[in-house]
Amino acid sequence: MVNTMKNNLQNDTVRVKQVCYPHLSYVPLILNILLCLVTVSTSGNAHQHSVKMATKMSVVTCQIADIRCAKTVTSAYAPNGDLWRLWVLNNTMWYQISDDHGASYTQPKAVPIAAENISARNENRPKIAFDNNRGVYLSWAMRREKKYTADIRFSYSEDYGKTFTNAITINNDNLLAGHSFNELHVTEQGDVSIVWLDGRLSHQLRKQGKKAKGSALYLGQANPRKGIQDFTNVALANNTCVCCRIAIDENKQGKLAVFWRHIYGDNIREFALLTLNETQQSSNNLPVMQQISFDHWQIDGCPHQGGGISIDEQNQYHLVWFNQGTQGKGIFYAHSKDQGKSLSKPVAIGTQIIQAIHPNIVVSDNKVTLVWMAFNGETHELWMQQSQDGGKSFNEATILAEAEQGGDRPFLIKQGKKGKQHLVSWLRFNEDHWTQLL
Amino acid sequence: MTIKIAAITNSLKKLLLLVVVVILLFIIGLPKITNAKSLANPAMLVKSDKLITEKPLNKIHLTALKQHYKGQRWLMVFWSVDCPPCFQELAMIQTLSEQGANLPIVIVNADDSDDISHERRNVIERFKLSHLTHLYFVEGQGAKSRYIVDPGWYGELPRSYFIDAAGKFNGKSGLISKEALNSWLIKSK
Repeated sequence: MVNTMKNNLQNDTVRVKQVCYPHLSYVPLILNILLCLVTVSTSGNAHQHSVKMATKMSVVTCQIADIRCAKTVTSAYAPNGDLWRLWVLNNTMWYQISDDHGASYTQPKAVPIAAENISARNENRPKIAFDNNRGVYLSWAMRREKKYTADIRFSYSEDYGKTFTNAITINNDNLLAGHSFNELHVTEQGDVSIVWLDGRLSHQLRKQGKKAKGSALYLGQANPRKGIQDFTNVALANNTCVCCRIAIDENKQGKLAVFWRHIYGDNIREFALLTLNETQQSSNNLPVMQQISFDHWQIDGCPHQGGGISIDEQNQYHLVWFNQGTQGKGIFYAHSKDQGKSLSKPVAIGTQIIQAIHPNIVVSDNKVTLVWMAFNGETHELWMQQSQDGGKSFNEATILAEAEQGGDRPFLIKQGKKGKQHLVSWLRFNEDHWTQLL
Repeated sequence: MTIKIAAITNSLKKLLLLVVVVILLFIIGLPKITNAKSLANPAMLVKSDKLITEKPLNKIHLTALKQHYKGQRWLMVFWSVDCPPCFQELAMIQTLSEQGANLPIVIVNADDSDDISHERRNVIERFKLSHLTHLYFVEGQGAKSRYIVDPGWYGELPRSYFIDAAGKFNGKSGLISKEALNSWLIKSK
């Protein structure tokens, strides 16, 4: 099963995108190429010259494996303290490793599996996780031939990324239906959990001529290193929003908590939370879920805004979300001591007038860190706010970084379950991958 | 002698390069000038119900549209290839559009990604909306484009703006009803 395909793309410098004068969109391609050639021919070093010009024009000439040209990046710490980053270019996943929290990285390496149509834009992106025995696990959504259809895919490495298994499909319905927005969690012992939004039920309903409301939340579990290769496919909830990413974390009892945007009533899009617990099932044999937000955002559409969850040492759930409801507009933070049955009063975060969106959260001990993006009409900003008392009070919000051409959603990670330091990861389009310890 | 020939060849090469550059600059500049003229006078844009085809949404184009529709109701619809309800809205516009020409509708793709430009065109063709005015968000300019239209819009889709005769933008997120669409556009005619 292990694919030992040599990583021969590593040092490939073939250009995937020649963008010398992109603003001249009406210039025929051939003339644009001529212009590029003229530019390059007058330079001693084509690559250096291109990059220099790119800085002036805010355009990057993309080489294969240039992270600046990616649309998303996923960062995660391995148990040994290495920081991994994963991104997609030209239907290939690439990774790099840093042993100094992102100050420097190893050379990019292609994940040695066959190229496929990987979803890596906006709310969708590949995920990466680790076990405690040099295992590296990847999960992503692969777009299929029909609009809004995809499969959840999985591959792993037993040798810290040197080789990867052939990719397999996790959803077991064999339907050309929507399966997307995957989240990945791996325990130290290699127990793999993948949660995703699944369209099999709505697909079947529509085939019967019935109306469907949203997608379903599905869970797949396996432990391939212990010989459990086949992933389970278990429904966790029905009627979820179809286009917002999910957030997951493991609680102090080792149970997975899932936080997602649900559809209540007549298209009321509110956030919901569940914790996997075999002993507590609702009447429809699905896990008990708690409604978290009550902002009353009624929209028959796509918010494209998932939430964030992080669980602290006292098993307190810290949550952040975005809504535009009649009862609540903007970013909100709240925490719960009882897995969402009751909630602290939601606190508004960020400034609405500068478009505060896409929040994320991480917590360790009493330190709660929140980040989000904003746009002031000219510049994209990365904002941060922290609490040192478990979310009871927050210090003043500050701007961490700016981006000229926007960026991917920002994410916060920590080193292991007990990591004290929080790292923010923000891909600035055509600029760089910006990280900082907080 | 050899050196002289080499020098002449070198000069000829430089001259040729210069000529190529001048020709290219002329070709590049021409459509820009043509475009600027047509935008300066919105009336020049009006041939049918299509004012601008597949142009970036920017202040210039938005101003031209506002000027053109001054004193009448019109509709702006923002959509994305990642938004299933947007396709329902495009289908409704297609149906309405087949019933009558010259609808005051402007369709804007909000994906701000070069990767989907081909898909974007396919969708417009599939819903037979090529005859309408349609624009798109330039890659990396999504937030800026949204801000130009409405600083209070956070990117949720579909997003429709019902613009009244006084030029006031009334935004609504999510799929709009057939009735609302019909009523707004029929009354506007």
